[in-house]
Amino acid sequence: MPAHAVRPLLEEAENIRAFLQEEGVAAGARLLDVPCGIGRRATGLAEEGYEVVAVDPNEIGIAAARGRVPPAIADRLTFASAPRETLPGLPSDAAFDAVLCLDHALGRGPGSDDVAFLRRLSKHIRPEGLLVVDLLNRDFFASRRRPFAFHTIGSVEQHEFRSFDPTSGVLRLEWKFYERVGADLKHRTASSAELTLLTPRDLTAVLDQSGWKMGALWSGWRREPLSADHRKLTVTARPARTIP
Amino acid sequence: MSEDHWTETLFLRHPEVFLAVHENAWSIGEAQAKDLQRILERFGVPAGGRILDAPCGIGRHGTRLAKMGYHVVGVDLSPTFVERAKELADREGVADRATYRVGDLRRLSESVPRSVGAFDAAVNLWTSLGYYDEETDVRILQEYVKLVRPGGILIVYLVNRDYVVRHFDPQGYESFGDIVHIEQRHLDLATSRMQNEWRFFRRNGEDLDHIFTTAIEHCIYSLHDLQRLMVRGGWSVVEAFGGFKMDPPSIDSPTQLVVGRR
Repeated sequence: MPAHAVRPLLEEAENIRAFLQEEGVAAGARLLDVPCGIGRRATGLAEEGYEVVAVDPNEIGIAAARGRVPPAIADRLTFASAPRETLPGLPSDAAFDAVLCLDHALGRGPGSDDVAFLRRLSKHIRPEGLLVVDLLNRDFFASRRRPFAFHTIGSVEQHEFRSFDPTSGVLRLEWKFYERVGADLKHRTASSAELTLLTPRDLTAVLDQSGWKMGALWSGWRREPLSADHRKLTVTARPARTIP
Repeated sequence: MSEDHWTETLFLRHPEVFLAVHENAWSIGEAQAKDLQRILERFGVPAGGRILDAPCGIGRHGTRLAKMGYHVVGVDLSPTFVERAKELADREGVADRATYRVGDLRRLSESVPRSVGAFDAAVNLWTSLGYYDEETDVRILQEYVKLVRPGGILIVYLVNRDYVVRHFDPQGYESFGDIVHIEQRHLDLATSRMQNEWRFFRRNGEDLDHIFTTAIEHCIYSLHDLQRLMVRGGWSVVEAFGGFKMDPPSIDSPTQLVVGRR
């Protein structure tokens, strides 16, 4: 199965570019994309004119992403891998106009991990820089029982089985991936994830503890107003000023 | 090429698939029939009275009601379901009190011979209205009038449109036995019609082998719609509930149950 097929919900670089531009981060700016997954988004953003450093703990994925970099943008796109507990694992003088922390990169471990991770990211932001976080929206999953969804992308059909535990705030997702052959569905692969979902208020606290100040809250890249009816939270933050 | 109405696809052309849905629901009939008994008693249907169960499926309510002593006639569009209903009534030892026959709700009074006599109550359960247009639903309700004695009742149990709107879930998944049912739903708010695509598969290891796909198009009613419909169909509405437990109607109840009196 092509790697992009297992990430059907990945946002298009174009939507992110429009969002960043609205936030004053125009083409030419330096972006850090972490974790970057297989680098599809980072490649798209480099093609949009940004200078992108993309880091992920998955070394194999990063090696493959390096091999796919189109020559035309090779000078604007750098891939690196680093262990999850040291992400982004860059030299201390690496500084960016914006840091992208997307695809629900928080809530994948104990809460303190998120604080440590965001604090490390804050060392790499320029003084007027922007942090963008996108997360699954707890209020969406908590307020409706939708135990199943399916999505199709090309000939691949993804079945998603969800269960949300409001006590722990953990969303368990199980995916089955099928290839459509005629009307039959041929099973190809399966995966699962357990994610701790945060309310905007939880996220504000996490940002406060990690050297950031919450900026705006949206429900998606098109700056949809915050709503429990949207499965995504798109959040901006700025570095908190430390008094010298 | 003329397209079959979806009821024909689901109940006549591929009855073995929907039969599995009925078989899967058979066990919930036990408790629901007990609840029905309480409703029948509350609205004056005598013990051992005559009940018309239409559409009856495989008789998961009718056969249970017969076990409680009622005399039940069940009618369903699908010969497959009717055959199975007869088998199950026989198995449960009530074939003398629960009889099943094939018939179309739109011509219900033709399906039930006069010799059977008038019914004390009729039941239309599990969202079995709204399959055609509204005028057809009025005519169907009038068909029950022809078969129920004056003073007898009709119990209609349908999905609640208000609930569907409030809790709309655009996709559904069900699995029973080796059958997998995947549903894509759309509600046209202007017409109150659900426009769904139902796909049925049979498990083959980890693969899903397609059996058939059908577009399911039907009207869903809010409580006020349903009550007005029943009045137009010749019934005076006695009381409305959220479901079999006779709890009050609610926007958060997936179902609604209305009792009409002839």
